[in-house]
Amino acid sequence: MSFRAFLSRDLNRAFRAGGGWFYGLFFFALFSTAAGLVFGPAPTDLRASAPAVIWLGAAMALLMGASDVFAKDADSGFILILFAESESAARYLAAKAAFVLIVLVAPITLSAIPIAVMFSLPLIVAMTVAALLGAGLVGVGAVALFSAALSAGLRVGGLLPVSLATPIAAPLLIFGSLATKTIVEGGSVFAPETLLVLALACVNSAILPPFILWALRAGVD
Amino acid sequence: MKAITVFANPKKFEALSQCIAPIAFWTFLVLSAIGLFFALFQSPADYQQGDSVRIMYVHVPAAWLSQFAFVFIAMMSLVAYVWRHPVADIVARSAAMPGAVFTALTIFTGAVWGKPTWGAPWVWDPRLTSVLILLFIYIGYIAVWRSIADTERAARFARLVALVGVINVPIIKFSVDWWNSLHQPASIIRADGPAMHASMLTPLVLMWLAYTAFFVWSVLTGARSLLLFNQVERRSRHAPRTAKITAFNAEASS
Repeated sequence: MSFRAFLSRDLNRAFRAGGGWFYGLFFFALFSTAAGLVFGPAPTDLRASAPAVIWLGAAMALLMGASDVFAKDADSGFILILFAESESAARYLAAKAAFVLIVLVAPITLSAIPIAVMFSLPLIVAMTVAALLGAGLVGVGAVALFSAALSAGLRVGGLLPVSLATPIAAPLLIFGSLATKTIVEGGSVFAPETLLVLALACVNSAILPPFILWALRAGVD
Repeated sequence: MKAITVFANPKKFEALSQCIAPIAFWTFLVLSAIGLFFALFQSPADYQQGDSVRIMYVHVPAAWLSQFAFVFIAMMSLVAYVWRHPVADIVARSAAMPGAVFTALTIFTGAVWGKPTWGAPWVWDPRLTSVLILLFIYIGYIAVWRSIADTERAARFARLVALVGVINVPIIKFSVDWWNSLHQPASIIRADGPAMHASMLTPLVLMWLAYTAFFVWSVLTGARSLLLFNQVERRSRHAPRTAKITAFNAEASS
């Protein structure tokens, strides 16, 4: 199967009735609203809490939203057939990565703009924060795919795979919220923290794919 | 390379561990007694921190061993993955619990030290946070072994967790350089030599050797128990079949 075939199959599945493509986005909106309620209406408190809320909410939404990305294929035995043709496995993984970017990363990044505005940030700052978040979420997306592959392979689901993968995403969350804090406080957009977020996103996207394939293969061996 | 082949034989590994484990255990007892004597009575108090600096002799070796143990687990996992080594997975598995205990000890003694020094037992400092993440990775690694009944399947996933989780070790090491950290930078393993007086360095090195001996003893004992457990399990799995064959043969011969 080609990359396009894999991707269109997954997109059709996600966007049809009951496909649940918006659950990640919905969780992010809900989490941010709940956090806003907890911190109260004072703009100073909201602005101070915005970096942590946005990064934590987006990362959790992505990790949980992508947790069943491989589940249907593992249950139906599709992954077993896939590994018989070694060439298809890389295309399959690339399609899954594109799927996560389209269905989860892009909507969460866009929705971060109104959420940041709700947290008393000026529109320009909110857009900058969202752009940084989008770049960082590419790296978190790789971790989310790794978590999903563990979930499909381990066949235990639930919290264990997410708990195994979350520590790997921790540096991105730490630097992401630090860089966002710098931007919110009027610092440089290209502060060292921002560059570290970009570097970590690249490192995660480069290092994790072989491990994702390994986890999928370990599940079917 | 030859050692890898030699220790692929569980019998040889068992014989060697039977010989080394008691030596490691007694080395641990003797060195920790000497090290603690030096730490408590011979080394001076710090001019700023006073006697609270003595926690260092328990805290620092535990921190070193917590990271070393995970690197060791990752290396054994790589050996198991590349060479399909039958003992490497068992050794890696038996190193996880002492590694986790060292990490927990690091966090606990760090909290005890942090209270008089920083005014708080816990701060969200990069070094502290990355060590806490290491503890979570240890717990996850142990959970993978315990949550999957099929040992071969569990081993495949445990190797994966170890090889991905080891990324955290350089993060711990360089966290004090990359972030603005409350934690002091490296003062022993430095390019220009240790920045510590010999009176403090001696008990520290003695305690580190004692902890290492404990780690060796713990890993060897754990690995031997796991090997014996596997043997017993294999025998009990085949026992009913063997009994049936013996009974059948006896009946046929009569």
